[in-house]
Amino acid sequence: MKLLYKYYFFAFAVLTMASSCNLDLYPETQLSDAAFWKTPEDLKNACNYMYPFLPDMLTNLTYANYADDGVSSGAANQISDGSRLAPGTDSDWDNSYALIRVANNILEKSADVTGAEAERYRGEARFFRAWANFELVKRFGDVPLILRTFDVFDTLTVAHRTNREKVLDTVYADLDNAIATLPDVSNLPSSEYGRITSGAALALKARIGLFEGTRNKFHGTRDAEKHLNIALHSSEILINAATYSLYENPQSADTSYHYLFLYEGERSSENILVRLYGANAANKISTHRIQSGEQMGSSTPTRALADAYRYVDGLPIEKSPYHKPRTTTLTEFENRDIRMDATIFNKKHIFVGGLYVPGFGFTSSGYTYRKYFNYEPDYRQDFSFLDHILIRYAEVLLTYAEAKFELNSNISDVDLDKSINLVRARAKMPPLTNSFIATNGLDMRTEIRTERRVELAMEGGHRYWDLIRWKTAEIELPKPTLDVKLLPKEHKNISAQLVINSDSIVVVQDASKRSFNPQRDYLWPLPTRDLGLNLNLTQNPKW
Amino acid sequence: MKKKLYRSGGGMPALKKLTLIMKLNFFIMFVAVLQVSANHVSAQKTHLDLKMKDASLAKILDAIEDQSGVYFFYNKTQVDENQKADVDFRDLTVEEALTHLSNDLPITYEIVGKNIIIKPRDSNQQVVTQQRKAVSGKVTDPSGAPLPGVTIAVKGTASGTITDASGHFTLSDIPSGATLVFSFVGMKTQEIPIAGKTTINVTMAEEAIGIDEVVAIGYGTMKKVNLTGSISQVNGEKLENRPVTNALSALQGTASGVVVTRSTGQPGKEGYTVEIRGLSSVNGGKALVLVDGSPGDISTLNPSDIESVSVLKDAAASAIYGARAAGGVILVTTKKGNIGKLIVEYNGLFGGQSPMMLPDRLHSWEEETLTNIGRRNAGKGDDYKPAEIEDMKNPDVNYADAWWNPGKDYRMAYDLNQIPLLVRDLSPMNDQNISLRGGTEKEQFFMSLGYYHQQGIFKFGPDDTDRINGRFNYFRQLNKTFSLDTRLSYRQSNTLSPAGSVGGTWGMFYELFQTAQIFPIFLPESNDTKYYGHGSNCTVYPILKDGGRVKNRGDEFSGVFTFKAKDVVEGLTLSAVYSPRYIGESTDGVYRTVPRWNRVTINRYINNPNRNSKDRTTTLSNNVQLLADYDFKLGGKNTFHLLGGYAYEDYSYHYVSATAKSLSSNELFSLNLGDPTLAAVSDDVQTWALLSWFGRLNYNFDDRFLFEANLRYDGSSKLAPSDRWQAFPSLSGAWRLNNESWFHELFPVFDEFKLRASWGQLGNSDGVIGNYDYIALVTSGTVYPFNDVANKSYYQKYLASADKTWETIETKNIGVDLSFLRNRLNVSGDYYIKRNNDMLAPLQVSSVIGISTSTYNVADLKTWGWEVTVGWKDSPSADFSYWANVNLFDSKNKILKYSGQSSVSLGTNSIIEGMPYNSIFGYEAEGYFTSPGEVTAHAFQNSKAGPGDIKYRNVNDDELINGGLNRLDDKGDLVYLGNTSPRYNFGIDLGFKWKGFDFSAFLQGVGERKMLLNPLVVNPSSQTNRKSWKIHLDYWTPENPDAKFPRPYEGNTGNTLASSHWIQNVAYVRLKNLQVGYTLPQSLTEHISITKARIYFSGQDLAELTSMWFPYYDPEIPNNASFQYPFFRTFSMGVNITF
Repeated sequence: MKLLYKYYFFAFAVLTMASSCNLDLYPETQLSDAAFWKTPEDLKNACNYMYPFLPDMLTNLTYANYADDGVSSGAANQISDGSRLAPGTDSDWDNSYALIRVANNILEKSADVTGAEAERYRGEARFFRAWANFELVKRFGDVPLILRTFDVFDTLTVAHRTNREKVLDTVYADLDNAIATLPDVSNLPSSEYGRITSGAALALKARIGLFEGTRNKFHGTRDAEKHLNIALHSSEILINAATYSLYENPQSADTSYHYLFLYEGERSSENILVRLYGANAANKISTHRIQSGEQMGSSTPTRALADAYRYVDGLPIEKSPYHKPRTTTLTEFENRDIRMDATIFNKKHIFVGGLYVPGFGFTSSGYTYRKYFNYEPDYRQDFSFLDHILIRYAEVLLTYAEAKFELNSNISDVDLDKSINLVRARAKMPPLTNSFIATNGLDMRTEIRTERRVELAMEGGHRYWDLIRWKTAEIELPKPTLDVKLLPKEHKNISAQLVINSDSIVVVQDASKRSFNPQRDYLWPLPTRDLGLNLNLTQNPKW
Repeated sequence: MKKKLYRSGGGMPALKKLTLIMKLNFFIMFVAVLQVSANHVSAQKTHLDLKMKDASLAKILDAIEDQSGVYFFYNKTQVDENQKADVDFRDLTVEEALTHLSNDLPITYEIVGKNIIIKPRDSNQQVVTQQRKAVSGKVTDPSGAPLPGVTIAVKGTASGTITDASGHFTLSDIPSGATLVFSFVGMKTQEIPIAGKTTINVTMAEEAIGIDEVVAIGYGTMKKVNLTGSISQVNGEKLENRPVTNALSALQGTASGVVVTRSTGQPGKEGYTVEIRGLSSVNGGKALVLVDGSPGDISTLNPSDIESVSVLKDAAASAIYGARAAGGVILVTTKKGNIGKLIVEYNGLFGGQSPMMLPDRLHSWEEETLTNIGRRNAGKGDDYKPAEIEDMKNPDVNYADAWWNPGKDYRMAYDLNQIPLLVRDLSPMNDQNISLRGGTEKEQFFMSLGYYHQQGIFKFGPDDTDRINGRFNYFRQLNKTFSLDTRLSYRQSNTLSPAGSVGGTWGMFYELFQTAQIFPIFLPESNDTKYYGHGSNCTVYPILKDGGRVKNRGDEFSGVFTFKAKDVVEGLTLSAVYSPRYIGESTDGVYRTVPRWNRVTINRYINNPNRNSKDRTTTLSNNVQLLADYDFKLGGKNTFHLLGGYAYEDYSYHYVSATAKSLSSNELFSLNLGDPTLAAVSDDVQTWALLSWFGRLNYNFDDRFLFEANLRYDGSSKLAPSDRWQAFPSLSGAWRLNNESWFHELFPVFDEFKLRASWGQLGNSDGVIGNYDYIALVTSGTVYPFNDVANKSYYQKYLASADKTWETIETKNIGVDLSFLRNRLNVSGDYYIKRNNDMLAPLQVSSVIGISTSTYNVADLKTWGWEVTVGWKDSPSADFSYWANVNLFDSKNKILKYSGQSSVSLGTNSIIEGMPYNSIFGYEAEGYFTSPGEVTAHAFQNSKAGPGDIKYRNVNDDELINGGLNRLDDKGDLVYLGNTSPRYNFGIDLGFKWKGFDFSAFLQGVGERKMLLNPLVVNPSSQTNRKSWKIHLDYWTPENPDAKFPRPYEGNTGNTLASSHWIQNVAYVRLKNLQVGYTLPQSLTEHISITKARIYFSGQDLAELTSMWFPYYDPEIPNNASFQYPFFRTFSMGVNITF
């Protein structure tokens, strides 16, 4: 009797347990979208996700190889030599649209959060959306313009390409909104260093205006003046505001340019937009390895870049009396623009463990990039925290000068002095004046362009995009890739396969292997995967 | 006993009660039954009033039953129920009434509780007067060996005994006319009349396969002959005595339709997977594994504890498991206790494992020469000048001053192959098991303890695994009706592995197999006190020696408690099952900082900063099942079985991780010693629950027609509430032709001839649908170092998919089971079609969407195939028996529909409409270019193409070799090169026993599988830091135009694109297991109380034949694998001892 009641209770317990079942289970360690988007802090955290989309430090080396300034010790670059095929997928395309999605999502979901702080983060989202759209237009021309988030069954999955002018109008509108809502750098607490400022939005607007203005002018399409005026106007605001200034090294003015790219120049007043890296060996939040990329020759300078540097008298190698036959590897560095010394290694510099030894161990060109190279401790430890400077004040000054010149086909000495000559002064180069041009039989446009080339060498792909917008890629890129003059007494590790021309100049890639098709190569090919998935997309001409 | 007796006549009080009970729900029913039994204890005290004239005995007893509630039992052949009497009972007790009745009629009665047995009067007297005597004898098996533990029952009585260790038995005081029943597991039960003898010796015969074999099915068991679905059963002994890490690896090849694969040989991390009947879903269709009826893990079980493994393959067999059964169901049954004497078994196995397929490396100067050739072909300078290469050849010169950094670094010129320094030729392993079993009618137990240990491949450092399994299975009959079956198990696994990644593109095996051998481990002139630092070269030794370790420990407790009420009314069994499971897993990572030097300073570190990580995972699950089984017959030929059930399962996973960095000690690792600013913690919780109702009807007409229907209704927490519930039905039938008399006359050769057919639907949800897929989530993203602090970021990682629902897989199966030649030859064949109509697949959308998309029910997969099993078993003499079993099966699949856009790209493509899963697309190799003119005349491949490079066929005759728009209708020059699914899997198991000797061999293989070789393995010379192997010397030159490999070319990836050149057909046959054993004659072991002693050799993966030409790839490794922890060959010796 007693025993049977035990079973009764046992059965009852089992049934009770069974009836407590529950199918409504929710995530316990992840935020739901519905619970997020409530406070400005949420918006800030959502905006933080966009910053790592800013170009990585190593893109400097990749982009240098696209142009005539750099060559990889590995394979010749297929964008540079015209042998590229339309890719299946394209990370620039994919990442730009991923960034646009994040920005659109922030703009949509943050609608219920009000106040100046929320406006600021919406401004950041607009800045990044503008950034991504410009990166797309620059490469692909007309692109689908995506201004809202959408699901897989939406018609936007088969969006048509939008006219680039229309895309750029939204880019300018986004930037204007960002300029109005983002803080000025002078109001930015140091703990927020690296966040987007109104100055960064203005500088980006100037960059875009210059790109599109000169592109329209030289490719003979549409209205160049509208964009050039935007470039001029935006850069002028920045110049007049005087919030930014060129970096001067307090110890040694001669090496300001060199130290700008090292820890000494970090957080300088010249930086307008940076991609941050940090923090220390024990806490590697974000690192890069540009030094090992430079040492291994992911990109190495070419003769074209080396020859672009003027002598200290401001004259090019064809005209300067300083120019001498190269009998040692140091000859070409003598009496040159000090920026050459800061950009390309020579025997006087400390390199890996000791002095730099010219040779061909890891470089097919015989040169090695020095900008951003920091042996101790970065190279030795194999990681670096040097911030990547994306927009700096020197570019704004150069944009001003070029926009002014291209708008009017001339530029006054006053305008030169408030812009390009500031940059030249830091490099200890004589000022550029209309009379200097006339006296020496030079060309103002060429000097402005060369100034840009040497100041911004190996930075952000400037050279490649300059060739595209000036429509000079078809002239410069088919030229052979020439490099150091071979000096067997000094050069180490010379391979039997090294090709030299009649002047003993190393030829890394012969002109016969290089080409640029003006009908095709001024625009990049759309990734074929997207063309296959969206039949409304059309490929760029000739691809 | 009761079975021998017929129920009393027409009253059927039990049935009346049943009809009432059926109206009540399960809960009430359970309780009511308990109360019924409680009330009737006092029934006999009821007083009767009964008056009947000329009534038959049957009617009289019925009337008494009606009034009192007692039950009568009698044997109709002995008691004439039609004999008539007049009764007039007034206020009598049942006993008083029966005394009266027994005076009038020739009957006696015996009261047993509420049951009363009626017997004829004289037979009772006979028994009393019968002569009683003693009987003894010996029981042996077919080979003549004594059989201990055989149950001997005196038929029709409760008395009996069990044979002792030497097979002897003695029974005393039994009737001389009695019959003895000899029974033993796996042997035919024999009935032998004593017929006056005093000595009876019996040879037990092994039970013929398939006749009385009972197979585990969903929520129960069934005789194999009555199955209508497709089920393979593997006997536990096939999995024993194998030197393998777990039961899954032993299962490989033993059952048709079951494909077991592994990805690496790393001890404790082999990554075993099981696929039943080909692909169920591109999202994976994991087989549901149930251990003793509750979800469990077969790979952590002790193989020696397994009684049998039953694989449910078609929808008919597995529909009872509904939403989780699409990948098939594996039912593991563990061993039970036995009735009889305590049996102790010890099984010990000791062995060694030797790694397979290590690459043959070149001398350092040879590999550097190949590097130089690759660089020259690329127009680059030599990596090492000829003089430096000469230094490598010179055994007296190992290093020199570095010209690039004089006095501060070395230029190395060693020739150091580290494989023999670090890799063992033979790694020890051992496996020890001890088990005890025994019991009585009322209670039986099985206890076991197992220990498994395997040393890894490295000569030193943390690289081994062990496992301890404990099990206690206990069955207790509580009373006539109730029983409790308890199965408890505990498992502990410990795995030590190096503090660095082992396999993969940059792992330790890459270091060992492909980095330059010119570098030393230790800095020269440092007396082996400082490690040399150069890139990532030479790090394996310091990582193993000083780099720390990763320790994984897993503890698992699980229990299955089955409380059963049998025959609460005749034929009705109620069960309640509760099964909790706990798994605790911990990972303790110790990452020690090891400095590495150049000539003067430390220039590299391993694990800098040092760190200690502790991860803890707790998995808890509960499973409750309430089952009602009801057996009944209608007429003589209609047998029914009904099952109704309810199940609830919940699962929760809790993960906590803590990491400390920059510890103040490099010797003691504790979270307490880390830099507090660098401490990191994180957690994760995942939960799901499943609620189910299910039922099954089995109908058997005259053992000729069998029919079964299943229905399961499942609700899952993983789906949005609106899409949460779905029903999964199945129907199946079989026709046993051999039981048709016309068939038997026509084809007497068949002992069994059964045709089967089934249809059903199954759900696929485990591992396919995320726990919270329908809820939009915000995920933390990359941190960004504002102010040198890690700033959080959040973003939406995936689109939520609220409409997502089950993948429903429809399965059709037809099959035939045949037995011939006195059941010695068994043949079984099946053909099946699986159709996954709502397969979840990602929608390929243009990247402009900017976010990872979830999966949608947009695809349709068809998988079809066949299976054949042939088995022969015979024992031509008492000393000799032999067997051979062969299984062969195939499956194919095709994506029938895919609403998204199929994208065809170079390499392996998972989903393309109209193509099989994992189709490989690539170029068709047309040999090598032999001249520059040939390159220019051919369509443009890439700018580096030249003589010695692979030439790809220009399929579409345009100017370029490319993939077109990467669509099926515009795929440029891409061609289909096959798919990665294995075809024609087979297993062959043969063996014999002769006197004390036994031999068995088990072969397993695959008839066809396509594999793409990994570019890094076939063409290391495309990168300076990767070095070639001996096989790579066979590269193209004008003098060697038919070379296996293209010319070395640094930086050229054009040769390693997916192409027919690198496709291998991975057909193979492998000697999986070979066992040779000898059982010592009992005469030797008897006097030391050992009933059985066997010694044996067991080897695993001993040899293979493969169609691959690339020799360093094992045929079992996954497609496109790079550098793997190698697999082993295992050689072992063992003993089985039974006390």
